[in-house]
Amino acid sequence: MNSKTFFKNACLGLAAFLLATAIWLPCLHLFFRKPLSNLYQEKGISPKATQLAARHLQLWTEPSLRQAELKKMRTSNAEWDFMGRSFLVWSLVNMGLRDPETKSRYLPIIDQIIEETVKIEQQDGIYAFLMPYAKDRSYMIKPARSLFIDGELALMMGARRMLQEYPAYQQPMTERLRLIEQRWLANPLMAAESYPDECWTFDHAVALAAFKVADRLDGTDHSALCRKWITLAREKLIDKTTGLLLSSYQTDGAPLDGPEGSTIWMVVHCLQVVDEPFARDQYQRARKELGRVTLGFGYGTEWPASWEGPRDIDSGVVIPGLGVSAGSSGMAFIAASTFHDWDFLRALATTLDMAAFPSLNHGELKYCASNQVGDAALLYATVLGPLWERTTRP
Amino acid sequence: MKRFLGFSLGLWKAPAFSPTAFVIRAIIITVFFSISELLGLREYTTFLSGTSANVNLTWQTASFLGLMHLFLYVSFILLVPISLITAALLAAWTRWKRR
Repeated sequence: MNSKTFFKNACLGLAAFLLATAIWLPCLHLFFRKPLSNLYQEKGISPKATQLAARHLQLWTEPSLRQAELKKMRTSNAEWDFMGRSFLVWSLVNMGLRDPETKSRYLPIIDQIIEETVKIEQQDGIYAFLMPYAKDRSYMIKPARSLFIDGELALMMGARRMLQEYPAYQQPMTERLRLIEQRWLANPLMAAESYPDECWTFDHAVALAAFKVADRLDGTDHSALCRKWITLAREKLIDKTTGLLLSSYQTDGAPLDGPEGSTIWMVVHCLQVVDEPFARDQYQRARKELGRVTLGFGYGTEWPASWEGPRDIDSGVVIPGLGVSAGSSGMAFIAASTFHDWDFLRALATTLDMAAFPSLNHGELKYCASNQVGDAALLYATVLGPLWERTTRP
Repeated sequence: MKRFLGFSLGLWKAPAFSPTAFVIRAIIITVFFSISELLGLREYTTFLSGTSANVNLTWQTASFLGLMHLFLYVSFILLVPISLITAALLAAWTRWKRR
């Protein structure tokens, strides 16, 4: 073959390849797109939620499996062990509320998780669930407490009590919330530390939701406290360019991390029970700044275009070019589900089935590219709703 | 066997931009991806969430295995269909030109 023929064939081959790419890329999502009801249902429990829950329930009924899974996660981040527990408890509560007949099955597991978590905290201290850098400095406010742990545990206990009252949790839940309130009121910004001199909007939002649940359960009234936090947040914790809440700041209000996908999606979910219009506004901003749909595939970026933070344990792997963040994309499910953004949720689910390597074994689903906390957060996104509905019901 | 070897050699020697060459590439990728699936490397893609699939391996080794599977999977869902469509387009073009 002479060089002229070769060049001609090469050009023809390349042109055909480009045309084939243009044909295939817009079609690819169709092979992974499934009906939304497969992932989320307004009433009842979706098939995907059932399969995800089956795997988590097995992990909590077979200690050896659980230990192996937790060991993998704790090697990277002890926080994930704790958050995996929180998301699973909140999910099981929502599932129990959706299908009351399953309550008797979930309650022992919910109690087992809460009791074991409290026991670890009592035995090994707060550092058992924090990343090692928590020990590098002292907490500003003594004695050292982490809002991350207090807030999520209070919400775990509150959620359990919403499914079925359990008097043993009332006092510890009230006590944790009392300590949070005390610390918030002692700080001009109502900032409480999760790590030494590090306050996270995520943890404040979870705590605010826990206050709302407590008000519903115990007839207390923390609405003034919650309103005050929202007012301060609107004034002091908003990124001027995007209008989104900052992710973390110091106890004096100095910003640490700007708006981040791995934080804001969960924040808007929790704020929905505190101040719905504010939460919705934050969701719409986050959707615009951090939510993307490309060729039918939805994903979340960790940072808005105007801000670039360091890639860290929260963002997960960030794919260069597109800016796809595993952490942000996972948490985006929760926000999209909360605000019934079905188009975005469907697009996110399409990406999940394409890129997260689902593995279905004996009716138990896990995503290989994820981990226990990631799957638990996904499970939560597929069943959330009833707990918040009960919390805000007049 | 001889016929099969002859056929394989013919495929292997196909011009680089012929429809056959694109089909061969698609087959090769499919074979490698299938091997990766059979070896269970799918589990190692957990590196994407910052987790190690196997605490008995170093983070780098586990991530490398996961990255390899990811690369083969992306090739399988992108390059295989694109190569097959390319082969079909080239074959159609050649046929149309001959007419």
